[in-house]
Amino acid sequence: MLSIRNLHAEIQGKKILKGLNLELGLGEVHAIMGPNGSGKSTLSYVLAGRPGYEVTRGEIYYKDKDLLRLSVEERAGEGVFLAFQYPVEIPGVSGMSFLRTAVNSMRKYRGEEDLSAAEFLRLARGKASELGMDQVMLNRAVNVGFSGGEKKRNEVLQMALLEPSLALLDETDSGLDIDALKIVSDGFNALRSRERSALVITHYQRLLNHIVPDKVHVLAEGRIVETGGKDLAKELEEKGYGMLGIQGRELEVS
Amino acid sequence: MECSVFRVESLRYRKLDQGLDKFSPAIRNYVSEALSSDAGPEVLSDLRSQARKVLVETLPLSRSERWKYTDLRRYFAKPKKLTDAPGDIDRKELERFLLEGYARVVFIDGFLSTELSDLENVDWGPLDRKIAGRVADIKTTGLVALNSVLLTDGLALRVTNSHQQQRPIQLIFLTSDKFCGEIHNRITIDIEENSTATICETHGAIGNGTGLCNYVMEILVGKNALLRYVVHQQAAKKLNHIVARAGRIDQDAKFIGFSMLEGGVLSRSETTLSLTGVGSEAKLSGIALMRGRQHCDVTTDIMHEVSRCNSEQVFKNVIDDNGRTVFQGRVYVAQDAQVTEAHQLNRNLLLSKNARADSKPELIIHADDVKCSHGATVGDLDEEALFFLRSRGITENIARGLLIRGFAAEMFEILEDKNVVKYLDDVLEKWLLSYDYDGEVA
Repeated sequence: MLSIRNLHAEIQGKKILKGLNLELGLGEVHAIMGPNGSGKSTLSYVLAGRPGYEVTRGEIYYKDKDLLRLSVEERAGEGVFLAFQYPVEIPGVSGMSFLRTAVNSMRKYRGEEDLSAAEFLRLARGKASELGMDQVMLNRAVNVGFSGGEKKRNEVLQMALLEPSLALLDETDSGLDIDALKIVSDGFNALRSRERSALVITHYQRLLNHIVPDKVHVLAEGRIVETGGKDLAKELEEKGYGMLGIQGRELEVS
Repeated sequence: MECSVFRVESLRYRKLDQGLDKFSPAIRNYVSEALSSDAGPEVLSDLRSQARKVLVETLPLSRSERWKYTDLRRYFAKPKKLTDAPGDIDRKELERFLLEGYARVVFIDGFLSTELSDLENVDWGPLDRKIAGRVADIKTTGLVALNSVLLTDGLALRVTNSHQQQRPIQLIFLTSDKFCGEIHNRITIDIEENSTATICETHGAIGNGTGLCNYVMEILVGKNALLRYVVHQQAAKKLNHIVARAGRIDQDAKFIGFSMLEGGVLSRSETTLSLTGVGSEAKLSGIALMRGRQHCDVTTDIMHEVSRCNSEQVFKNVIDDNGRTVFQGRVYVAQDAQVTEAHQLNRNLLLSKNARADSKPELIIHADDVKCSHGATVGDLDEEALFFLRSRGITENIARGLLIRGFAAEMFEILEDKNVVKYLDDVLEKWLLSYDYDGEVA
């Protein structure tokens, strides 16, 4: 499904990923944990194709396609979805028109017909109400004036509408209270299936109580230094990254 | 015979065109023709003779501070004709400019068309001499002197505080396909005490007119009145389009203005508002959409003359290709204008490396109890927002379109009338349809 081999990446000449290897199977959910500055966010941005993140060595194969050769929107079309750590506000663009443009862009990529306004409205309303979002929120400008929890819910709504085959959750738990965390996790879990894989990037173990991973990887200094089952996360929470002999840096580069 | 009449006229105005020697024959000819013109309404003859005296000094023939970024010299230097017969416009062609539920005044190529207008229940008449020439400053504002000298047609509108439901009014100025000449119209608007009015000014073109449009609007907003004033300009490709709006806002009255400007080869929208009554307020906002080699100048001049007045201005520009915009915003606060609040913001979105925006805010403050601010930004689309949209499968070109749209549509929030929002939204949509990201940004 996703195969990352010897990945080296840098931003503005600063080396962040230094030989990362990762295999993610179809239907699997892997957690990526690690101290600040270990390269977690960089990994998600490189996978999504964010400009400015330069891959200097290594390769990424996704559904047997060379992911690095695809543009940002082509990757999305192929089913890659990045749930942003800090969802972006877009003044003047209503949630509905954004979502409809996104859904129809994906359909176009797959060679399907556009959804009509009415069809789309029905679909979006249904998915939104499952996530406890009302119509008023969808008519407002994308994320403008939303609380942290509402923004993350909005990310999950996009995920529900775009039905990705590879979801990248970049610290989706940051800035969420316990209730919002549960809603967002439930929203994600409802989408889990045999056909969908996910990388869940998190700093803390608490998210993994809600989204139970098949594997946990520890990222440090731009490399996976430890891989284990879901219990590894608990152990790290108790003992800290020090148990692996690694230390976090002060600032995360993102 | 005719020849000698012309000579007499020339002699009479000879003094007035002094100082023109340094200019080209085309300019000298233009000025002397303008000075000898006497085509306008009889009631305005004193306004005309007053304007003739200052015409030469007010025409932007040399570099001046007020016209520093907008150069009309190229226009004046070319041989041209002053007038052109009004063309025909079909009612059908008018349709796309019409706002639902509005009374309308239609001018075609500078002449009022009573046939296309719908003035039922509108209080209108010939230019109001109590207002015409008394609100717009003939020396410092736009091309007001030229307008006074060459004025062909005008109209007065009055909105009174009656209990009757007032229809909003749309002023429509169109140029026809073959139009080639100059248009000088003036409208006086009197919004009486305690009344509420909505006026939309639409400048449109059927086909390719050329030449100069030079409109002057003189506006009084009476005590405790509210005027919502919306402008949409979609000038013909090769037209020079100048509009000067001058208003006086009385006690506790409010002027809420919005403009969306596109088209034309060169356009200047100049708004001069005097807050003359205590507690009055002016809100001005607008968006200009420029591409090709279009040039758009938004000049504002807000004068806080008495205490407790507020003004707020937000002007945005979207500039593609070799387009260029100018924002000159001046706020003047008189010594007696205490407890003044005045804010001004100009934001420019440059979509190509050859696009250009000049921003010149100016605050002149003589009072001490004031809160004033001004700011200007120039930039490209937000990279992070662009990445976000693309990561949702939206192609770069469409993502850019969405963001440009958002940048502009955000401004519609001030508009109350859903029909106007819909109309402007369609205009914006059409403009964006021709937007194509060529990979080169500022």
